[in-house]
Amino acid sequence: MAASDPALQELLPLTPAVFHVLLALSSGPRHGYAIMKDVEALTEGQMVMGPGTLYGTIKRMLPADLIEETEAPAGEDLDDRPRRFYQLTDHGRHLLAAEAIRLERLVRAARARQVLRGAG
Amino acid sequence: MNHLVKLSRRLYRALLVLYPVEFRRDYGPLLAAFFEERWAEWLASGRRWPLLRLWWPTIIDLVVSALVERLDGNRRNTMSWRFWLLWILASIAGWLTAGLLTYILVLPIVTLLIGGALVSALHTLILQRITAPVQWWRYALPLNVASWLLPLAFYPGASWSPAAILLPWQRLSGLVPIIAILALSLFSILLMGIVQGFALRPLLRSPWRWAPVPGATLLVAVAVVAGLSYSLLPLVANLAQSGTFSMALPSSGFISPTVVRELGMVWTGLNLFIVIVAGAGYGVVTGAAFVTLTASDGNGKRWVLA
Repeated sequence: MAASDPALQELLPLTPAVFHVLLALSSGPRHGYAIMKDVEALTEGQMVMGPGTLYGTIKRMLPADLIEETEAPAGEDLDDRPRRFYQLTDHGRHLLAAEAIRLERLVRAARARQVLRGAG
Repeated sequence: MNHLVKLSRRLYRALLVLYPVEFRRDYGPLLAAFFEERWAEWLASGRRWPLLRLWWPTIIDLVVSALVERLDGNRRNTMSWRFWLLWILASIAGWLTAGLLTYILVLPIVTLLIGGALVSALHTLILQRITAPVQWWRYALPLNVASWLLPLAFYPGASWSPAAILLPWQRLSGLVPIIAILALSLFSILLMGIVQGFALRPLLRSPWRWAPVPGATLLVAVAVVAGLSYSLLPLVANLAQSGTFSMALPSSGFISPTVVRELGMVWTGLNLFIVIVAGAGYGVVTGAAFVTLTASDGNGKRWVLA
């Protein structure tokens, strides 16, 4: 399924929470807390997901086949905390790409209108 | 600090009760572990005011996400018989209170008609696919009308003039019509509750969930206005009829016209206050109930439970 697929386009735009979770998982499987840390780092601290928001989002993404549970990656430092690891599905990866393309178009349009000039 | 950390952990675990049972069962341990890991990280980082700086966003996250989970409600189960019966009883009790308030506040029939029509129209326009209330009003409206008109027909002193139909209590006095009206009203209220209960029967078999209603704010606003109209219309009608504000409310049968006249402005002012508060309160309660107490089955069909 390509990012331009009409079925994917219907799901856009994604909510910020879904987009950030997908983006965090794009570099490999992670558990909930690691997803939050990654989102925090990706957004330079602008977006901090609380546990309720994060697991509520995950709960809705699982039946939508955007992410799936997986085993802990090899070499992962497992402590005694309860952990569940998640990874992107193919559908989730395509949807992330479609949303990124949509956002890229918007940024391009903003650049063309010189919105970003002098914005730092 | 250690006892504060322990207390915070316990408190957070206790607050997880805000989430629906299913969500708590599936994600409760993960939520608690997340919170504790965040705590450990913040304490290790040596940031100032960790207690305040961690709890403030945690509370917001907890309240907002718990609300979302409850509204989004993955309650895919069917409604239990116990819940269904409780709902019908609560509905009857609610209508009974509303009915008694109606009689105590001496509201005219025209407001019931206008209110019913308004609510039905609003349901059609705003709630769209929610058909049960419209269906329900089809039963409720004739019953309401009957509860007002039948005593007029049977009571010898009653007249069928427009004023008597609009403000029937003004012409009625004595125990017989009052008992007749109350008996008919009680009957209609019980019947309304049963009709409403039967309308919800499919939820006993089909999966259902709570569902937020689009246009909810508008509905609450209109319900408040409708509630105020319910209450203020008799005042306006009476003012137009008598030309004076001292008899702003018609006598109710429970309170004699003489007492009303003697109490004069004090009585009027007190009633005005009660009427406005009751009207606005009625609107808020009705609107809020329609907003929150909505159920939806797996096929997208919806019911208003209030």
